[in-house]
This record gives sequence, C-alpha cells and structure tokens, in this order.
Amino acid sequence: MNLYFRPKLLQSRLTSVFRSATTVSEVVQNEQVDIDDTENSLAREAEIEKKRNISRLSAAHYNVINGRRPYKEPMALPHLTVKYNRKMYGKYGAASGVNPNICWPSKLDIEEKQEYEAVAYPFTIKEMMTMVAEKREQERLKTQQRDNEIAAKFAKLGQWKKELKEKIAKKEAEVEAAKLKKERLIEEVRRHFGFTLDPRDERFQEMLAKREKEQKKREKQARLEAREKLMIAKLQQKKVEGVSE
Amino acid sequence: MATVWRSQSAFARIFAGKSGLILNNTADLGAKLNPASISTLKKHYSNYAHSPFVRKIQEQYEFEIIKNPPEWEYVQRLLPFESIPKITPKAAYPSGWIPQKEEASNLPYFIERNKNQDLSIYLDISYRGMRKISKIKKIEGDIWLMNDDVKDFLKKRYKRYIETRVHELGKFIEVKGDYVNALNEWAYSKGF
Amino acid sequence: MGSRQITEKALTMLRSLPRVSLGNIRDNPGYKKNPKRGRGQHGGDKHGAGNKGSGQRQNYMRLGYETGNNPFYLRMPHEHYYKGHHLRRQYPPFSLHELQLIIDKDRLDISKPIDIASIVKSGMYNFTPDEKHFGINLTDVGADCFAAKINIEVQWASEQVIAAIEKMGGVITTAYYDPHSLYLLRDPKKFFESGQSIPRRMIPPPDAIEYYTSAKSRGYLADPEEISKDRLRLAQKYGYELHVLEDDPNYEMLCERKDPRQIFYGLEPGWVINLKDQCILKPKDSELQRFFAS
Repeated sequence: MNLYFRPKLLQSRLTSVFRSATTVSEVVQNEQVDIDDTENSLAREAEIEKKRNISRLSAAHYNVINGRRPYKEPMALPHLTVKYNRKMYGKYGAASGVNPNICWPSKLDIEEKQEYEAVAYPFTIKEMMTMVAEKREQERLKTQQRDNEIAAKFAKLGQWKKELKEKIAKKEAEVEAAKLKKERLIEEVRRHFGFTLDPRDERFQEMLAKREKEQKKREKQARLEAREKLMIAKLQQKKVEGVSE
Repeated sequence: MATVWRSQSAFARIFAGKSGLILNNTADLGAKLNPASISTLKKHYSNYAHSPFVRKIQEQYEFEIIKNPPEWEYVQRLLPFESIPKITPKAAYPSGWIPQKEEASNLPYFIERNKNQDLSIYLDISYRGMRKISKIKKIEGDIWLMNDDVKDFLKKRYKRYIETRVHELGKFIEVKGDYVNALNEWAYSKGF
Repeated sequence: MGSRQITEKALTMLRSLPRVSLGNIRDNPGYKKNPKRGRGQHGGDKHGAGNKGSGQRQNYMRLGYETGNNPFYLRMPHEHYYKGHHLRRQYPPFSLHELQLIIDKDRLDISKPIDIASIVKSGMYNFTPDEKHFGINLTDVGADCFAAKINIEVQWASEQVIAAIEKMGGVITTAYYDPHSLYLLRDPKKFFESGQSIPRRMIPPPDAIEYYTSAKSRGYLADPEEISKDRLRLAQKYGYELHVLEDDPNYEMLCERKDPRQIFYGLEPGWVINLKDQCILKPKDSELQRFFAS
C-alpha cells in the first residue's frame, strides 16, 4: 500500500514546494494587474499543472487517483454501455455526470426478468409447501399400508405354520399308510403262498393285484354301508321330529 | 433450438452462467416456450459486450434523491472495516481467547501478537505427517534466553530432552515435535 | 381447432371413397430415395472414400477412437459417488466457537442483527457462491462455551446450535439466499459501486422449501407460532429455562428480521446507493415500485 501512494506523496511535497514558490508571485501579480489576465492566468495554471505532474501517469489513471472519473468523453465502445455508466455513477456519484435513470432496469429488462422467473420459479411458496406435504403424506400412507399388510400376515403366521406342518404330516402319513398297506398285502400273499417268494415274481404280482382289488371292494362296501347308516339315522331323526310336532 | 424446448432444467441451465449449476431444482414439467421468448432470453454473462448502449435506453423514471437518509447506518454497517478493530478489554472471554498482558513487556524477551491478536505459534507438518515442527514466531529480545526457558519448560513437562532451533534473524524458534498446546500454555503463563 | 376439422374432413372422405386396399394407397413423398451410383467427374474416381487410410479401405476405426491415446470417453471414469453433485447445495461450516471468538475480538457488533454479510465483513469467514456454496452452516463446535445473546441469521443450523443460541436468550433464523444475492452479501461495497439497483431475493427451490418453512429449523418462512412452540420444546429437551423475549430490553433488535425479498437489512429492493455522495435514490415510478415489491 505504501508503494502505491509514494508517488502521490512525492508529488504533494513537490507541489507544495512549487506552490509556495509560485503563489507569492501570483498574488503579487494579481494585486498589480486586476482582471484582464484571467485567461492568461488559467493558461499559466494549466502549464504549471503540467509541469507539476511528474507522475508519468496517463490522464485516465491520474484522474482515477484523484477520485475523478477516468474519461470525460467516451473513448471506446464499452464507455457507451449501460454497465460502464452505472459503474461510473456507483463509483463517482453525481460528479460522474451520469443520469441515474440507467441504474434501474428498463421495461424490457423487467419483462425479461419476469418471464425468466416465471419459468425458473414456477411454483409459489404455498404451492411448494402443499407439494411437499402431499409427498410426505404419500410416503407415510405407503409405509403405513405396508406395515398393515405385514401385521395382518404376521397374525396369520401361526396358522400358516400349523397348516404347513399338518400338510407335511398328512403327506407323510399317507406315504406311511400306503407303505404299510403294501407291506401287509405282501405279507398276506406270502402267507398264502407259504414260502418266501420274490415279490417281483409274476404270480406274486397277480396275487397282489387280486388282493388289492378285493381290498378296494371291501372298502367301497364299507363306505356304502356307512352312507346308508347315515341316511337311516337322518330319516329316523326326521320321523322323530315329525312325531314330536 | 429444438433442444431448448425439451426440458425446463435444460432451459434453466442456459441461464446458469459461469457456475453452470441449475439454480432451481425443478423437475421436468414440459413448460411450453414460445419462439419469441427464446430469442429475447439469451444467455447474458455480465460483460460490456452484452450490455446495451445508453443512447438506446429511453426510460425516464421518476426518482427521489435523499441526502443523508436515516437508512445510511445500514449501508455503513455493510461497508468493510478500514483497519482491524481494536479489542476492548472485557471481563471474560467465553471463547477462550486470552489477551496480552502488560507484565509481558517486563521480560527480557517478547512474543508479538499477530494482526488477529493471536499468538503466532504454529504447527508445520511435512513429509506426509512424519515431520512435525512447532514454530514460535515474532520473537523479540533475547531469543537465546527464551530458547533455554522453553527447553526447560518442555523438559520438565515431557521428561525428556526436546530439540529446538533458534533463528535470530527470522525471529523464530522451531521445536521438534507437536508441542503447540504446551507452548501456548507457556506463552499465556508469561503473559504474551 | 383446425386439426379437428381436418380429421372430420378426412373421415367423411373415407366414408364416401371406395374401400382402402393395397391398390389405391401409396407412401408419403420422399419415402424412397433412389441411391444414384457414383459416375462421372464428381461421383466417380474415389467414390467419396478419400485417399488411402482406413476410410478408403473400409476398415474404419471404432467411434471415439483417437488413434491410440486415451480417448475422451474413457478419460473420465464413472465415479458414481459424486453423481448429481452439481445439483447439491453446500454450506461451508462456521462454528459457534468461531462466532464467539469474533464477538470477543469486537469484529462483530452484537447490538445489531447479524447476518452473513456481517460475518464475512469480520474477515474470519468466506465462501464462494461459484462453487455451489449457499451460505453459512452454523456448527455446534463450542456450543457449550457459547455465551452471547444475539439475533443471527444463517442458512443452515442443527438443533443443538439453535438450542445453544436460544439458551442465551438469542434468536436464530435460517434464510435462503439465491447465488446472485450471495454475491451481493459477500461484497456489498463492490455491488454499490457498480451502480445497480438492489435486486429482490429469490424464493427457495422446491427441495429446500421444506427446511425453510419448518419451525423446527427456524425457517424464515415458517409460522411464528410454531416457532415459539418449538422454542419451548427445545428448552424442555435441553434443560434450560426459556427466555421471555417480550421482557427483553433489546426486544426490537432481537425480533428484527428481513422480508423474504430483502437482501440487506434496512435497504429495500429497488434502491440505488450512492456511496460517494452519501445518498440513496428511491424510485417513484409506479411500475418500478410494483416490480420491486412483487
């Protein structure tokens, strides 16, 4: 920071030296000659300024350092733009000579902004809030439904386990029963034959088939009898009821 | 052009500017854009080339200039500090910050505080964490005496010899190892 | 509208025309492109295949191949862990301990409401909106040593942090700032010197709206009644007595909050600040006022 300001300090020291040298004579001169030398004095002042300024800075930089806007007249295309002029107003205030009207957005700018916002922010805050609330509600419902389903299934879990066990047991039982039956028939046939005959033998098979048939007939008969009994029981019951009425 | 019509997020991407992020995380809602709007809504980086000329602006707005307005204190609050503010002495500092004490200036050596009013004791780690050096910077006065004091203090505390390096011109002492907390304690006890 | 009439017309035509069969339909024009063989000066000679190389010899390199060097499509590996990172907001952390430090060092004026601009002004915190930083995340490091009654506005705060601040009798709010507003807050002087009018702050995006409208996170769009209820809840949870704000002498300062469209405290959108002449330009034009008030 010091380096930057050193030339200015030098300058001010120099200017103070020169000022002290010239002001005395100037005052003397002004006292002697009244008004007609104003133009000359201005010109002289300008010349003195030029000689005073040994900073070797460009005019624009010199102005910036002294807090003035760098260029009074536009020198390049950017100087004609709104952005540059706004900057000049922002930095140098009213002294910049810029009309503050440009600091605000133009009608076109406003329209463009509104259109942009309509697309970029399509929802109002309330709409967004309702959207979020709906989403949360949906999630909650979904999880609740799933929970309920699982709870219902859990309730039935015991029963399912039992059913499964029963099914397996039944199957096993059937298989067992069939096996036993077969064993029994084979035993019977064997007994019939009297000697140990290979079960796979023809005669054995014939005997087995015959026995099986007979067994089936007997079972069928038994079932029919059972049914008849039931019918009789029913009829009897009906009779009894008819009598009682 | 056709690609621009497709999704809103793509549209927003055009406006994103340098960072390229979608500034509004909206889903694709298939917003309908008309050709007229697309032509005016071009991507505008903030540079002079994209700024319009002043002579084209015809708007004349009414405005009022208020000199020394009552809201100026809010503006001043926003402007940055010219220099680091001085710390007013307080009864207690809950953050654990310890101010410099007057008695410290009586010692033959002195540790200056840095711009943020903190002690300049830092830990330098290099060689992928294998080398740790605690550096006490901004030392004035009799640096060799301070070195002896520091070494004694550390030896008492850690029950072993701890190597240090004194740099008179650089005004620092480097202690081999991570003893920053212990050194801070020592410095605070001395009042630095 | 017009298309409807066309379909109606087509259907009426169909009703009167003979049965559609293969014999009375044909494809739309342009369906068949007769490939013309390359003959003569322009189509002949090398027949569009160039000289030598894989092109003429019909031994083409695969798409994306870059004659041996690592091709573009293989240079960047799939790193799914940062998928969508460009859509995620980041809040660089700032601890309560740091906050207490800058209060102790007089870099922050606690007699006025604190926002991100004042914290950045203190010089101990900075963020880059360029890198998807959306503001301050106040962390709970140093929450038990925190002892300052402040009115602070951050962008993200956890429950512990809110409790720590309210325990001391302060007020914390979480507010959303869009990236443009963040640039302004980071360097207000630069913005004022650019000579623009103060813009409006934008509303949060849909995936942030939940955070900023919930009382639990002290969102700036939340219901104040819900917030006071939550203050009580936190006091009960963390075991401190709830400060009655109304009895506080600094009540006004503690309750000062920004409008959802306001970026700076005390300065409305639409104003132009002239730092050099120390004056503020306020627009009187009705359209401008309407735009900035929307």
